[in-house]
Amino acid sequence: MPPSSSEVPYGTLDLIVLKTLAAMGPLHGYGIARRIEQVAEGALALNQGTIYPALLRLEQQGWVKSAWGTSENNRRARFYSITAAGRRQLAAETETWARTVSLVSRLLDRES
Amino acid sequence: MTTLRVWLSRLRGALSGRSRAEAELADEVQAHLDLLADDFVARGMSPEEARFAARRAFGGVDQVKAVHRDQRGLPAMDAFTQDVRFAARSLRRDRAFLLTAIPVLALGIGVTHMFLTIVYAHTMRGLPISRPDRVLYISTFDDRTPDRPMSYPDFDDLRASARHFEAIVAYTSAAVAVGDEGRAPDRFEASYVSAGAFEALGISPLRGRGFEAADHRPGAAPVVVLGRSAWESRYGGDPGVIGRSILLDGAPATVIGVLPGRSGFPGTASMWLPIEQRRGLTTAPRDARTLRVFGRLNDAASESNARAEVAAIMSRLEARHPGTNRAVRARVVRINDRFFGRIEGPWLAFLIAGCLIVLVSSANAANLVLARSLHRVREVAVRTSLGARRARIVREQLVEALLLASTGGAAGLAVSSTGIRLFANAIPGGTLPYWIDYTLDWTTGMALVAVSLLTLAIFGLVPAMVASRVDVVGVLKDGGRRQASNLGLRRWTTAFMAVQVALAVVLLATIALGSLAARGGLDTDAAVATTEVVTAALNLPAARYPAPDDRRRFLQQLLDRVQGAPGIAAVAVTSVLPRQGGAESRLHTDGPPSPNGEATTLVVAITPGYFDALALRIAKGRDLTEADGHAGARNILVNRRFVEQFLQGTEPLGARLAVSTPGTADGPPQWQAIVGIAPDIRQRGAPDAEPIVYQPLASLAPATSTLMVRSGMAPSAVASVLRETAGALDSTVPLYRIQTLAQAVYDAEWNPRVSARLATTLALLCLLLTTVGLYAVTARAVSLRQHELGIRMALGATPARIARLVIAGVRPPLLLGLGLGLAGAMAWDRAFPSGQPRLGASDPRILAIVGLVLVLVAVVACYRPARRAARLAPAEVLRQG
Repeated sequence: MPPSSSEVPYGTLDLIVLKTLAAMGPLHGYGIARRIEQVAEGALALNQGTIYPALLRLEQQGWVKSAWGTSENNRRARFYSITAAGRRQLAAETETWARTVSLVSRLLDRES
Repeated sequence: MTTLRVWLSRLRGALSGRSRAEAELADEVQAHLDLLADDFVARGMSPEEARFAARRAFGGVDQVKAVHRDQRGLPAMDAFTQDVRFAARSLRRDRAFLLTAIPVLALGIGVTHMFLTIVYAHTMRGLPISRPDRVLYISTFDDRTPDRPMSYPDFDDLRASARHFEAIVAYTSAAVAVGDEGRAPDRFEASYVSAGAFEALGISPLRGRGFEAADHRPGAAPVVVLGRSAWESRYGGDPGVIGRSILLDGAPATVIGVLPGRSGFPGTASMWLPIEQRRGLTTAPRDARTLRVFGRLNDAASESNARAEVAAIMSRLEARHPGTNRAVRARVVRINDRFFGRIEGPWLAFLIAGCLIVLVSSANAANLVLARSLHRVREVAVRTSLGARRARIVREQLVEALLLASTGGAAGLAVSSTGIRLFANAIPGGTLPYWIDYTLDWTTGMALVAVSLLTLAIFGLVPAMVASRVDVVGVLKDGGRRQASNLGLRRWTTAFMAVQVALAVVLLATIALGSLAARGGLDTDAAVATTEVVTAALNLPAARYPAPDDRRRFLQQLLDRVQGAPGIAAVAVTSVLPRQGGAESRLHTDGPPSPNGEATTLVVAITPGYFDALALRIAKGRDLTEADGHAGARNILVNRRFVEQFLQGTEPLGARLAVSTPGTADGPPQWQAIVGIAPDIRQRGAPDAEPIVYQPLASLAPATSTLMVRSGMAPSAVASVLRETAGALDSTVPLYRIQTLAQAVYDAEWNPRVSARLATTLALLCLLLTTVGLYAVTARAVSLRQHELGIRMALGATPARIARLVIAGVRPPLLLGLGLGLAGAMAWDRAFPSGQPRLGASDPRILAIVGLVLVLVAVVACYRPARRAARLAPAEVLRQG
């Protein structure tokens, strides 16, 4: 199967954003989007705008916080950073995700 | 609790400034696009290309914003506020509609709320005491008397042996004359209370102390507790009065405390004394039942146990005192049930009237809303066909109705409080017991909300349902005409309007009847309602004036001195003023006994000069004279009505008759001789004269009577002359209720006056609602028939003819309503005879007037819609269709 870019799997964008913030420190929305695209190496067709609802969701949960600042090329931008609660959530989610993935792949292996 | 946090955050988002969050999002998105574009430029694109590429990479900006928005706040609430804004805007545009619908709702809600508040205050509010459900009222009854108070010995035994009560207390009321140095005496209603009375009701004194055990011991120094009103009116709220000695009925007593306003015992008492100070009460025999008794239950006791206990004690007393207590049982009810809880008579009528008003006004509002929504059938159809959900359209209608109902409710509150203020002001002060309170409280507030919601349910739901049933294709095809007329409401509207017209007919007829009956009053009415006569009630304390001779002497001296004062034209004393009643008495004459049961007459005691003071002349014979004023005097006057009723065909002068108090044993009649015929004066509210016997006051010399003084001086000057004269004679005798006779008559007639005002208000309201209703129905008919009327005009119908056609539409409800109203007026006559021969609500004269008024109303209601119809431009209408 040729590598083609696919949609972001449902429900994983929040996790990806949290992981990105945990790894990179405070970032603005564009920075997060660019970082995700970089890591995905073109395997992901990200509508960059969709990260904003995701960020709002995370902020409402108290997992990220935001503050206005200035970007590297002197533009006003909103910077997001992960909170302690966000780190705990990321750890929990990562584990769940790993378990799910291993379960699914085990199932797939056995059936093939 | 993550979800709770999310909801809180969303709520914050919904409540906080929406524009700020929106601006921040826009900034953020813009910053993102700019950064993205910068990158593209760095990769070698032209700025123009970079901007487009950035937009592409970002995805739909507006979609992202919309998702963000929904997630930020509460979408349901946002939609609701949006609906409210939309409804408010669309209502504001329709000013004519608002100017009719809001007053209709406000009047309906307001008047209903006013009626509910009044009924509630009189029958349900309850006494303002702590935990009234634990206070039981104990009265007695036996085979002959269904309800009577309790005697002191019975009360004492009950108090001593009842175990389920924290306290059982008794009280009795009497008027006392209050005097002290340097002040004119006053008269107050006092309650004599047993030990622990204040505590049992949870009342603590505002100042000083209440009664203690020592105050209730026999032979204790007399003490008195003032009510706040007495304290303020007589002592100007001076705290120094506590500890002072004042004179009660001439005997000294020390003021020990003041009770807060709006408290005390059931009644109008404004002064309290220990029950032991009431002379002869504690030693009264067991069958002298004069005490009102209530008890507060123990915390542990149940109501039924307490009832059983009281019953057991009463049967023990019966066994022990068979002579006085045979078959005497106790009735034990919660204290509020004793004084409240019975919605009957006028209150029931009030309640029904209130419900009718709110129904009629909200049905009218429904008609208005319906008329308005017909204009919008097309709009609704277009929106539905473009994908608007029905639920959303119904919701919009309901939101609009909610706005109307709440505006109407708020305006209704203003109507209600104004109405209640007018109502309360029309009742003379001191008439109502202190617990009747018309102020808005939680319950009446909820009643207002409930009434508003009821109107909402009626005028909001029906049109909304109608709107939701719109048949889209049909409306778009024929412009909504068939749809609107198929709604099947026409018959309902006609029936409803007819009932409304009928209601208006009956109400108007009874009011016209009332005013006709009032015009049929007596020719002495004007003479009686005069400001040239000043009246003052006086009360001779039993302690100083025990015997009739003492009272006779005092009254004669007072009359002589007042007569001698400068500027006084005439003076008299009467047992009871005109319009304030009289002693209803049995009448004995020489003639054969009356075929229709026992003959009764009113008895009024007067001094010679009573009719001079009223500037009236004796019709025949002579007035009473000083010589008739002795204990054995046997001469009396009767009024004309008395002669007409009882002495038809005989010579009245010199005829003899006797009167006796009803219910007393028949002794030999005390015959009295008629020496003169007096003019007819109304002693009671009835428009017709009643038979009256005028006895010389001196032969009875009652302790309470009223002075009447005619003079040319200002009433206040007369009042000070009276006070000085009485004070010089005996400084302990209080003169009270000093007012002009006109004022006294006005106060005495408050009940019929207030009823008449309420009835007039109702009738005018009904008339107004009828007008609005007819208007709404006609206006709607015109909009529905626009197309047809246009065709008629195009075919040559004149505007006058078109207007006639429109007016013809109100004929069925009008005729039907007039017919129903006629039947209603006849039923009314049977149910409430006017008391006047050949005059009733169904009198042809009255019905003619009422019919004319209603036709006028119909014309007013039709004027606008008919004019609109007549001015239709056929070409335009037809093109629209």
